Amino acid sequence: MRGVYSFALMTIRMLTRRRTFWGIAMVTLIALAAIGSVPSFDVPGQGRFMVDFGLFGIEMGSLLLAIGLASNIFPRDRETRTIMPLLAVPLSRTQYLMGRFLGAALVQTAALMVWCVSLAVLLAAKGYHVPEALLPATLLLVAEGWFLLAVVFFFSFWTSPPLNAPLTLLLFIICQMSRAQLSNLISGAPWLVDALRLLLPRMEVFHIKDPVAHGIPVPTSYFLLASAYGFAYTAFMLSLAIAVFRRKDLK
Amino acid sequence: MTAGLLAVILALGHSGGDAHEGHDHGAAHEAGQEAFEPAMHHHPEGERNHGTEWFFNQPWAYREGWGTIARDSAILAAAACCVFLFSGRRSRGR
Repeated sequence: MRGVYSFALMTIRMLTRRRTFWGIAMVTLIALAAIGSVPSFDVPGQGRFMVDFGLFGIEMGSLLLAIGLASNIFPRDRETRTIMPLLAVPLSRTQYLMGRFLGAALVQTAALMVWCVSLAVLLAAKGYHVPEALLPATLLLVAEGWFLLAVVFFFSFWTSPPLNAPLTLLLFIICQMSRAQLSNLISGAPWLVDALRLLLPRMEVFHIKDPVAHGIPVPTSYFLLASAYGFAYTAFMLSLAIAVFRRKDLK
Repeated sequence: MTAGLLAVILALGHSGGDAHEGHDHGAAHEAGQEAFEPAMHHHPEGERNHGTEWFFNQPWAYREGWGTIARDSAILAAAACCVFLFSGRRSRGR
C-alpha cells in the first residue's frame, strides 16, 4: 500500500506538469464563465439554467480530463522504457496500475472541486442562490469520472491513444442511453441489451442536477447508493484492466 | 372547416389533448376571466403533474429502482473480486 501511495504522489507530480491538464482545466473554467455570462433577459430561473448547464459542463470537463490524463500514461511509460525498472524491483503490475490510477483520480477530483467552487462563486457573483447540494452533485460526477478514468486505463493497455479517445467516448454515449434506447439500437438481441445494461453503468444514476437546480432535496441514502454504484463499476473496470495488464508482454 | 373539425372532435369525444385530464383549472379559467398567477393550475392532492413523469422517473426520485442499483453494485463488486483473483492465479501459474 505504501508503494501505491508513493507512486500515486509521483503520478500527481507528473500529471500536474503536463500542459494537457492545465489546458482542459482552463477550457472548462472558460466554458463555466461563458455559461455565467449568458444574458438572462429578465427571464426567471436563470440561476437554475446556470446550475444545470454548469454541472453539465463539469461532467464534460471530467470526461475530457479522463481521456487527456490517462490515455497516454501507459503508452508513454512503455515508449520511454520507464516501466521496466519500475516493474523489475519496487512495484508489482497491480501496484503500478493502482498507483497510476490513484494519482490520476486525485488530480481529476481536485479539478472537479475547483470547477464546483468556481460555479458556486459565479452563481453568488450573479446574485443567484447557491444550492447546498451542489457539492454532492459534483461528488457524484467524481464517481462517474473515476469510472471513465478506469475505462481509459483499460483501453490504454490494448489500444493506441488515438483509438482510446473515440472508444471511451462511444462507451460514454452508450452509458447515457436508457434501456429503451438501447433496445431500439440493438433490436434483434434482447440478451445483449440486458448484458450491456448490467456490465455498463447507467450514467443517469450520477446525475442529480435537475433536483439540485429546482431545489428538490435528494436523500442522503441515494447519494451513498449512487456512490457505491460508481465505485463498484470502477472496481470492475479496474479489475479488467489489471487482468489485461497482467497478461501483457511488455517487450 | 374549423367548425366541422370541432364537431368531429366533439362527436368522437376527444378532449383535444391527453394531458388535460384528471385535474381542473378553476371556474375563472374555464370562463376565460382569470389573471395569470402561479397557483392557477389545480391537481388533486398527491397526484403528479402531467408531463413531468420524466423528471420524477429519474433514479434519484424513483425509489422502486434503488433495489436494482444496489443489486447491480453487488454483482459488479463480486465480479471485480472474481476477475482480480482469477487473473492473479493465472498469472502466477504461467
